[in-house]
Amino acid sequence: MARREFETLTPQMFYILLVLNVPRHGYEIMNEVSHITEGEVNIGAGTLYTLLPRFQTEGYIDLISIEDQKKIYQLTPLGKKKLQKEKVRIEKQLTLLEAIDYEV
Amino acid sequence: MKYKYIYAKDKLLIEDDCIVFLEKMSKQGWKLKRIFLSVFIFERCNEPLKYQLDYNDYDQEYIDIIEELGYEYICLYNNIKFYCHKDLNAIDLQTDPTIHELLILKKYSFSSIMGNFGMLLIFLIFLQTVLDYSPFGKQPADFYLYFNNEVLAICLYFLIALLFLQTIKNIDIRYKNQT
Repeated sequence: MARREFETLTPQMFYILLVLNVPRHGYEIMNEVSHITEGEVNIGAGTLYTLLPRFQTEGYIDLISIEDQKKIYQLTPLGKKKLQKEKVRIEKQLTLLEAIDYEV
Repeated sequence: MKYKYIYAKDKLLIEDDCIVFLEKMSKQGWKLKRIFLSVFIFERCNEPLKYQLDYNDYDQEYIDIIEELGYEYICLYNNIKFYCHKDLNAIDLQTDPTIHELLILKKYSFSSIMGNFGMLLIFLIFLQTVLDYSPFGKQPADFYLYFNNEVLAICLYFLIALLFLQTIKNIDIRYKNQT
């Protein structure tokens, strides 16, 4: 069966949704992700502007306003649910990692 | 020498190869000015540059952000925008490989390749119609009567050849970029 889009989130997808807990426009999203990850994860403009309309179509984010030609987005309840699912997935991975008791 | 001309050969097929080539040229003091019929045209530059290719065609906000990030638009070739940046450590335009691959596959989608074949077919039918009225096998004096058809036929041959080569190239790019 073909892999569904957004079945699992890449780090870039995850952080874009994460920082949209408050309304932000594109440039703010890029800066905030870079800030909270201390530069470990950067969002390229091309990646961001490809993902935003797709997230909107999936219902994960909403376009709430346009100010000075800048579109401002915010996470929807469905987007929060998606992040919650992602949290469960990551926790499961951690549990499995601990159960194997690798020295990492 | 003010400009340098280099035939692209297969440098335009794989994005990473193209970027490596352009960055190597900038280290040698040549900055891309534009691309015309698969020929890179370079002009003199004093510093190494970072290059990025962009397949997106979004709104003004997107273009503003790219400029705000310090990227300089160079040219458009085959619906791909070429950008350069003076900072070699500037953030790439595409930072998510999954999305990047998706964009390339979308640009060279099966339906767009089939669209090319469709246009090729229309040109061939049109060419056949034109040739029906061409002066082949007629008296030399008839040449003037059919001159316009001859010119049209030559133009169509040229267009068909270009379209055919472009289609083959697009198929090549699509399958070489598939992981």
